[in-house]
Amino acid sequence: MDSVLRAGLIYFFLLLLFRLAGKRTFSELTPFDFVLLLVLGEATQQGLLGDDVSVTNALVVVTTLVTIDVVMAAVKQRSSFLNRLLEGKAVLLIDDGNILHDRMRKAKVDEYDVLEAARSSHGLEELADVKYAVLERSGGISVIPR
Amino acid sequence: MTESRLQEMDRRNIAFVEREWIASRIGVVAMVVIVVMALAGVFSVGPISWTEKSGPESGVTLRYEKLVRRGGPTDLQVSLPGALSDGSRTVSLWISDGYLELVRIENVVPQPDKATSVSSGVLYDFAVAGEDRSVDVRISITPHSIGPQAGSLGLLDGERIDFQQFFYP
Repeated sequence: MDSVLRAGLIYFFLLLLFRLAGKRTFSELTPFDFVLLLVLGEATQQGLLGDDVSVTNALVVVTTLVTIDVVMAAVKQRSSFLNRLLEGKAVLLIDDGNILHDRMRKAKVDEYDVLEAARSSHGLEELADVKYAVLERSGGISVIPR
Repeated sequence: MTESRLQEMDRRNIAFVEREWIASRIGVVAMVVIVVMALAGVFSVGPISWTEKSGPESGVTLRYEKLVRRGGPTDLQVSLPGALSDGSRTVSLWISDGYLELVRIENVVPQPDKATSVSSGVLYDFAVAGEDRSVDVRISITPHSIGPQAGSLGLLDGERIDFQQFFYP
């Protein structure tokens, strides 16, 4: 029983942490994010398995984690409230050419991030060429050119 | 001017996202608080975790961590009086059965001459070297239960020290 409880507790705790950390934190893997992901696996391993390194325990833990993931996906499909809570919503950062500085500050996005998305997706050079910039649920930025 | 689909989407979503940003800021503050608490020893190993209890009649002093993690190592540091009224060269430390069921003893330093099971506990005999010296014993333990727990130790037939710990899961 404790294997299932450990796996569930760690899964939901990590989910809460990543939701609170903000979308931009993990949208693009920087070296810092990569190191964090590597270390996170090691940090949670002992908590998941405890002193029990049997194959049975490992299979129970893995099954619990995958089951939680599948159930969460099904629940999100059926509940728009939970879907919103777990995935978030997209918002505009540039609205018809107007840069929404306050939103960008709150979303921890700067003009360089938007310009980078504009260059990589449409080859645009200036923010003036951007009609809309959307901060997607994933933390990525989509650009609609003029 | 008619609203574009993106502007309509934005209008529907912005209230929720604003609340999300506030929750995120609160969450980050909470994370910082948790880290500071951990540094202070609230989750074991830190300045506020250690405490000391003494038995004024017996001369026994116990230093231990109030807050410990299950599976995490910790010590019971016991100072026993070396000079006993009966002049014996052995001092005996009694630890309650109830406490020993909650933890696994990894090591006892110095190594006791003898460990004997007595009523409701275990007795560890330590040799006393020199005159009037106290015997400092370090018992390394690993808790294997969770929640608030209580223990008791002291000299055999002497004053007991009762102590409480909280074992985090």
